[in-house]
Amino acid sequence: MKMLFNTESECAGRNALQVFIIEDHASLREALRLYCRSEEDLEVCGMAESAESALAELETCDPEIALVDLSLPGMSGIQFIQAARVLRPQLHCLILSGHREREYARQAVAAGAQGYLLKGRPTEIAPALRRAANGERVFSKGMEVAESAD
Amino acid sequence: MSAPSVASESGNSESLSRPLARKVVGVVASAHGLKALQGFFAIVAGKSEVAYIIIADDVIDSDEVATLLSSSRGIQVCRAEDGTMLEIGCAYILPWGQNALVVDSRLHLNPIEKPPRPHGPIDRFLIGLAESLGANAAGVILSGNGNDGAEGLAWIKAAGGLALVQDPRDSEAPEKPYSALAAGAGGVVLPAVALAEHLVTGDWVKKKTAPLESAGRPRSAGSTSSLPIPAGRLHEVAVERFAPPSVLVNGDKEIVHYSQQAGRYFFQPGGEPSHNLFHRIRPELRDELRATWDSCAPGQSGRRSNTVPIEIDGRQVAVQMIIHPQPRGELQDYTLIFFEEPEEHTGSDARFSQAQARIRELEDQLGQCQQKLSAATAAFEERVTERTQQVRELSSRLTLAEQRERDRIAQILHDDLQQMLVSVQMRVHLLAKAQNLPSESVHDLLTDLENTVEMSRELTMDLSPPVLSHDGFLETLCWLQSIMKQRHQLEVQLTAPDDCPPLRRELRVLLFQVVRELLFNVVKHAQTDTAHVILYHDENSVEIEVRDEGRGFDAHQLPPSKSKASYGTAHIQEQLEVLGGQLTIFSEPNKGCRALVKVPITENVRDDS
Repeated sequence: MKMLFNTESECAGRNALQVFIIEDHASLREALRLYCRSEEDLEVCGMAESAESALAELETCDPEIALVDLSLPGMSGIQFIQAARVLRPQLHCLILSGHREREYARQAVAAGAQGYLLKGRPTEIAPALRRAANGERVFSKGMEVAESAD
Repeated sequence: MSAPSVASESGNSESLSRPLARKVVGVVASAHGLKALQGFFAIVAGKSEVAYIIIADDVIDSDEVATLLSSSRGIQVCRAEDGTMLEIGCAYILPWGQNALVVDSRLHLNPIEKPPRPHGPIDRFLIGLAESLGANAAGVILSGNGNDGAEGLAWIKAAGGLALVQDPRDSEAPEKPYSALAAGAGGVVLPAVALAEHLVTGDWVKKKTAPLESAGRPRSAGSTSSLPIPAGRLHEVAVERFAPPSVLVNGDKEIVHYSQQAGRYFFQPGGEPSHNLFHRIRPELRDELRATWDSCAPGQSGRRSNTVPIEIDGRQVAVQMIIHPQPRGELQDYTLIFFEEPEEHTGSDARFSQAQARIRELEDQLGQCQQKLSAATAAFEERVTERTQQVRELSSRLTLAEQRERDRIAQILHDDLQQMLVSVQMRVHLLAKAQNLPSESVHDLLTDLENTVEMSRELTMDLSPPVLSHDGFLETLCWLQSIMKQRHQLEVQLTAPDDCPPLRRELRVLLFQVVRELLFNVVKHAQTDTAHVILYHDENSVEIEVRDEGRGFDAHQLPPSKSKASYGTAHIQEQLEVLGGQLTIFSEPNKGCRALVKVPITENVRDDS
């Protein structure tokens, strides 16, 4: 298991939103970390390259929201959300994916995700994290799905 | 005398009281033999106890002959007619083209049949004399051209008659005398005048009238008078040329006529000359003939003897005799006896059997060849089937390999290129934010990057639709329906049964590609925003119809290959054909387009995994 957390660099404000990033692509993962750091109210409390390592890392940190890639090696992002709901019922999860099929968004919401964001629209990410952490549904344009039945 | 005179009798008016002639001399007159003829008759006139029948060849006129002979005293020259009674001391000039027979001194004439027999008319005349008069006939060949008469004279000689030939050296035209000598007819060869002297002074004239040897008139008095022509002649005409060798026997069991070839079954016994059938029949045949004759019931015809082996010309043959009594008609009281040599038939049977055996042998060979051919055909078909199966498997593997490659490229696009682009995009965003760059300049860059990400995403999707890897075909069509709407604003009306059969992945991929390509064609060419995809299936096949009501095109004006190629379906069509399927496109201008895909569901395409 590889820890992807640099406590030194993540020094946002006291009330900053604690974000956990799960992304298997290293460059993008780093870009996301830098992106969050550029936002004053966001703080990356941890990162993982897979769902399995993320679940292990949740033992040692306490994020408020997880930004989860849909396609991951091993467990998928949706499977992570299902597992995280058991481990950390308070944790909000937001999918960040390259897949534009609304079916994925539907499955993600059904698994407990707060929303579904498409990669390639960086300006959407920060507002979405904030709203999702407040319990709102957030979707990239064109990916909206109805409220989960459960 | 019944025939009118054509020339007055020279110094003789007792024609009505002349005795009938028992011996007849046939004289052949020729254009080149008139002098000899005149000399001949100058000698014989008034000196012989015979009648003369003169037959002129076709190059002189019989009247000319009559005129010529009128100067000969002691001979009466008449025109011969049918029924003429031949009298001693008369010369009868025969009309051209008539066969003549003499029976009981009566002359019977009948026209020469056509087609003419092998013998010339003079031969026929002399043969007739030989047949009807036997040893009582004489023939005289004088100077003349051609060979007609030579063989006839030989017949007269053979029948025991007198054959006279003018010495060729004495002849104005020696060809006919030479021909007679060459035919073996030369009995007495002398100059014309000497011939005449030989005739009137020789033994033949003095000899008692001989009984008929090989032919003759019927001895039955009742029959004789009623017959318009002799029974032998009738036999000859009726039977000789069409039937097996035969003899005609009268009511006294005397032979009245032999057909050609019949002589081989008879012999001339010693002692008194006899015409009795049972005397003349070869001894080997006698008992069987008598037994068959005796067993012949009254009126029974066609009684067949047992086969009797005899030797003919050093050859063993089996002879069978068939007895045909003639119960009615002109030959009443006569009996026909046919001779057959069944061995010939046996020989034919043997040849027939050999031929049949050969046919059976060839049929066997043919059967063997057919078996080999069938085996070869079966092996070939088996090989073709095997190869077809191999090609199908190869094609399936190729389809899957192609899809795997697409999946691999899609994965690279998605996992690496797309992520890198997104990463770059985010870093540009962060850089612009950190540097406070003008939002317009950064905005264009970010938009380009976003579009690039989007393109790579679509490319990923096109290359490897996620739905293909884990869903049923109906779901695949549903996904395609949503994609066409989302990306191309094409409303796809999907009609499909719920129980779509599971299909192997390679067929799912192929059908997906076909339908997507056809829908792309609608987007590109049809100028409509609606299309229909209809899925049918039964236990044997799956059919997909892709239809639109767009502008259509004339499918007949384009060659099939071009129309397929222009619709981008050529490759797919080939793959479909390998799987036993087909793609058919129907279209007319302004009447939309209807594409029909049909693929058989076999073990190859049914998903049994």
